[in-house]
Amino acid sequence: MTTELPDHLRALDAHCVEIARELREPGMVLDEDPDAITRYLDLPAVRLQEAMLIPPRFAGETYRVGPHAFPGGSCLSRVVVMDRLAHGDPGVLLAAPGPSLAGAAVQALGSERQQSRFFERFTKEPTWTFFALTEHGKGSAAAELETRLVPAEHGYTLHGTKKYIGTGARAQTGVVFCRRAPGPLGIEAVLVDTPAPGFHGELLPILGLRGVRISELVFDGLAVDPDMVLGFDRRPSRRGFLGARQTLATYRPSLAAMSLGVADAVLDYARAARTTLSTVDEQRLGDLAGRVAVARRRVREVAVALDAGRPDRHGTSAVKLTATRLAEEATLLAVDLLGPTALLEHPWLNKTYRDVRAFEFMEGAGDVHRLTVFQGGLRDAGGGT
Amino acid sequence: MTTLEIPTTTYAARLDAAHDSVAPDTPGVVVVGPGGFAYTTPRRLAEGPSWVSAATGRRLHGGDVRPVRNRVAARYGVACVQLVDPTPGDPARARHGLLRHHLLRAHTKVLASTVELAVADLGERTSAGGPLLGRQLVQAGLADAMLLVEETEGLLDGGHDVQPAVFTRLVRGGRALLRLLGGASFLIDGPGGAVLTAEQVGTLYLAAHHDH
Repeated sequence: MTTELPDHLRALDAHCVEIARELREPGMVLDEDPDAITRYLDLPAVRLQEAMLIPPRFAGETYRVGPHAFPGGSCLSRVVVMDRLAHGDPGVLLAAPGPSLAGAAVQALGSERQQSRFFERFTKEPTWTFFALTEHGKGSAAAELETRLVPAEHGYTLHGTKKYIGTGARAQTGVVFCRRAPGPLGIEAVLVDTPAPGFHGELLPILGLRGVRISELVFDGLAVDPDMVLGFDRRPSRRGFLGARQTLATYRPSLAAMSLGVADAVLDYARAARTTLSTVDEQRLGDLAGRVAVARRRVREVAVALDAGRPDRHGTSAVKLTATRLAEEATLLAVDLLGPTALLEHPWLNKTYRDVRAFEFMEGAGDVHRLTVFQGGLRDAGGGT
Repeated sequence: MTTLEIPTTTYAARLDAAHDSVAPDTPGVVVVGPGGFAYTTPRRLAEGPSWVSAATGRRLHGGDVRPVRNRVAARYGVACVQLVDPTPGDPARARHGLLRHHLLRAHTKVLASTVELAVADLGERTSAGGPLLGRQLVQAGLADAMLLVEETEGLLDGGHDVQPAVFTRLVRGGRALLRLLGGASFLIDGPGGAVLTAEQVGTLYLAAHHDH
């Protein structure tokens, strides 16, 4: 499979390299003031990342680079964008308004009416969203979640607590995964608007990526209209649980791409800050840069397969795991190369050193992906299914 | 559910004890690292510390003490400052090897506490009807962390010369351990905050110097 980018994506790639530079300063500002994202909504990078996640039929305006139009929906376009823009700052991208993972869930499961209701608001006003799957006791294991969807007089009420939810306390709308009945077929995904009675969102004190405003969400009898159950007209086997898996599979290549963009940024920073390097240190940087390049090729292959309707579950886990570890490796190497004052005299490196640690647990912890990689290897060796 | 919090003052107390170990006859010692930076407690700063240079072993007088904002370390009672343009004084007869020794001990204690919290937390969290603690991958991860703690304590107890590589192993081992805790590892008031504080302090005082 080739991962050479076609001309229009090469143009997009080059464009993103240019506009990513504008993200570096906002990233530092957000680390101090997570609410400052509202100052940066007009940045091309912020608009582009949002446009990549809105289906063409709901987009008010298509993002253009020269003669090329870039409607949302292509995973390959999205990984090119997220990779290069993350070189500027991943935190701004993740803090920005847009459909994010919730949009992928609505696309995977929602009826046409639900999709219209969800996506049309992005053309009207800046809208933040959340994807509430994770619970502390269960992680992001959809089959085991405990948040309950309880029948009520005019529909349902939602009860439970979600934790580590990006933009949760800022969002106007989001998707909540919950349990209507025992077993995997009892999982539902519901669309909720906030604020609303029975909803409480609280910011969690976090080490990095502060603009993302990772939150704890408490649902205490939040009313859910029956037509806000995503895919309510589908069979149970084709909705909640399936939607969680499909959504995460769709978005993981983007997270991997973002991690690689950050890894590149850190390596570039270290090279610029250390003008003279020993042969051994040159080799260490070169080795890591080579590993990032290999991972980038694999991320693009996974994205091409997803766009072609042949999702590579094991390959996706492999690139997510590899890319997030490479970003962390890059920060450790940079700190080592820049010496004992690296985290004190280089504020951007200090921020990135903290930020990249979030990638590990976003969209499935590393150990879960290690097991998936193993299952894929076993299948390829003819030892399993 | 287990509260995944590490006592916030323990590491800070050990940090100041590490400073004290360098020159026990001098009250309120703070070792100044490269670039004039130092980590200590706000209390020691308020009391007016006796600065000692890690590079020269001399006392340092005067100079401008500039605070360096560090949200995570502050949560654990640790302040960072930069001493700018101090005047070198007489030699302090300091024993800098002890600073390394005590800081590595403090870092190791943070990891040991994190192992305890992880065992409690993962024993309560469930997957596929059983505790996560029952999973081999989880058990192996915890065993690696336990071995790292045991080995490092052995090095420190045995009076061996402790190299920067020990700190590097603690950083990498600490991160591998934190991965077992998922999102909880990213909370400032959880073990991740305590481990990051120890990493930041260690980077200043314990990391290897490269020839630039």
